[in-house]
Amino acid sequence: MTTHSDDPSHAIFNKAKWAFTTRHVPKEIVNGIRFTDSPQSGDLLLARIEWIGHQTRLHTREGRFSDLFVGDLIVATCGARFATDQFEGISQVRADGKADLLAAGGIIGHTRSRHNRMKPATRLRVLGVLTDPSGKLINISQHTIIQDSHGKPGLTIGIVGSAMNSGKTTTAAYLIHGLEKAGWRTAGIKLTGTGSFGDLHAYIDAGASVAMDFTDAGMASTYLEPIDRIIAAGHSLLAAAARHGCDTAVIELADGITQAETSLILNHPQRDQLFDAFLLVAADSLAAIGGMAWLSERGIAPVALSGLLTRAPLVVGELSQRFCIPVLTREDLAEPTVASSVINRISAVNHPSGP
Amino acid sequence: MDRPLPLLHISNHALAVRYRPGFGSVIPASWTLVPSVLSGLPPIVCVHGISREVEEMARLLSPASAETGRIFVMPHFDEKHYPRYQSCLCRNRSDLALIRLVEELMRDGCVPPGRFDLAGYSGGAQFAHRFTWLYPHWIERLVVSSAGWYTFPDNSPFPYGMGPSESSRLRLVHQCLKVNLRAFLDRKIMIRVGEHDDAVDAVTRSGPEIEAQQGRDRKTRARIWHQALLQAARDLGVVPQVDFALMPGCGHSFEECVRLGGLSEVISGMQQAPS
Repeated sequence: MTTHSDDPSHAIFNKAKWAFTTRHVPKEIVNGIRFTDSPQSGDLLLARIEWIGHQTRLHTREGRFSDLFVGDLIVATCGARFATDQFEGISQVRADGKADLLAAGGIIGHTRSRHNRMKPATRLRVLGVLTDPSGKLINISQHTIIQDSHGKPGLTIGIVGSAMNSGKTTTAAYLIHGLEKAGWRTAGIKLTGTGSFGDLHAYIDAGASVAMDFTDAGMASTYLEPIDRIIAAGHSLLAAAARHGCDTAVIELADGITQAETSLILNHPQRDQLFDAFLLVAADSLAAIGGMAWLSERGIAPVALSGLLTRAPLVVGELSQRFCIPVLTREDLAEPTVASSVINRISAVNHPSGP
Repeated sequence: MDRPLPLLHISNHALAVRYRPGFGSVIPASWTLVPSVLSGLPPIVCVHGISREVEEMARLLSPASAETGRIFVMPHFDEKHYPRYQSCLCRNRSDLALIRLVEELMRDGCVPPGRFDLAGYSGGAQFAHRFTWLYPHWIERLVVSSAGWYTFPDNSPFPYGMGPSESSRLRLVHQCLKVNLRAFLDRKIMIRVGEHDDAVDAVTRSGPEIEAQQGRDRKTRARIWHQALLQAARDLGVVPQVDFALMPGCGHSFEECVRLGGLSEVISGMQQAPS
């Protein structure tokens, strides 16, 4: 590790664009910067834009897009990314300080692979890790909304998908909308994935009483994080939802059910402590059939099917006949009577609950 | 223009009467009776019949509110915005309008959070039992009084039963009703109808199909619905908490049912269903 001799002034920190993933870190605590070529996942990095690639805009901590220009300074978080149709990257900065902006939510790391339709990631030069007045490296895990892990909403439903872009966030948002209109105080929670405000905004726009994700629990991304840390984050986020008075929580898991962390969660012995039921989202008929079989092998019987497949009435008809569960369009889920009956279907099996 | 609500004069020092204006088809206007000594029991929402005599309802129920310490909320589903409020799933969605009203009252601290008792008279009873069936999580206890007709736990097309509706707008309602049936039957349900409420009048829905399913008049229909609920509960293995009684000396008049039939005692919970 080497120490950077030039301590940038606070004006530079303030002028930098602070990414979404940094939003729980108070700017006032930043006191200096230290260069290290081995930052840890979650460390706050000051970086300069060297070349604009795929990511042309940054999700700021204020919740807006900020166009990026070469030479811009950004404060973002060291982290990994797993996105089958975009990038895979790890939380690593090269020795010369070069790194990639792996995700517009503010994830800095090293690209390992990318989808063949993707331009290379926007390139950065990392100037250092931000430090607090005691000289300690600032990591977002030190700044969370987590208080404890006690309590959870009366009923929780997991949204899992056959793959990325199968309609999980849309399904979660429309279900939240229907539940809120029916009087269920509902939390929208993204438990795994890469830090980004898009999903949280979708939950908020749908009317969620509270919207949270793993960044609220101190992780910039859940890719390659220890499974027990993610499970603990799930308990903490559910406890926070309960403190907000939520009776239900809709919990979205990123990517497909076979993705490493999502798969580990669905196989975890504490799975049933986090989820009372699951809704499977798929893009087409075969994906739904495969997903149902994969889940069934793990003792999971989804309460409903949804996702892109519902755009085709023929597929809806086929799957409705094959499985004895409702196949619901997003408009169906937004209907309060339908959303409420999804909950009642779960309650009938598990336990009664209400506002 | 909506008909302006007249001032409601209730001379009862043990009670505060609050009027809350409505907002178009978003939230109905409402009267709330707040006793000076509160029982801590859930509030009671009472829904008027199609004559929409909500002030009369408030006046007649105010002694029970003061005596029992229970908050009464009486929404006014005005004819302009909610012409078919009884169906619950009408164009302007009286079901969602009621949820919004209750949530607003909770937010303002006028009523405590949580479940409420729901009572309805005549057209209001139609609304009340459908609302409870669609949203059982909201309801602690249901009082259905003198409904003109009912949604039955059978396979008749909705709204007569839990079968598929011909309306595409309602294409999933039957599935919801079937899923919710157990939770609905798990509520305390009190069914009341006037002893003399057996006349078929101009507003009684009639025809061979409904008469074959439910009978000709309100009294017969209430009895048959009661039996149907008991049977459905037995079929599902639910211990029924459904209570039926005739209100002696009463025809189809809310005032009569309160004065002679003890309806305000039933609504306010002074007369309990068997547990």
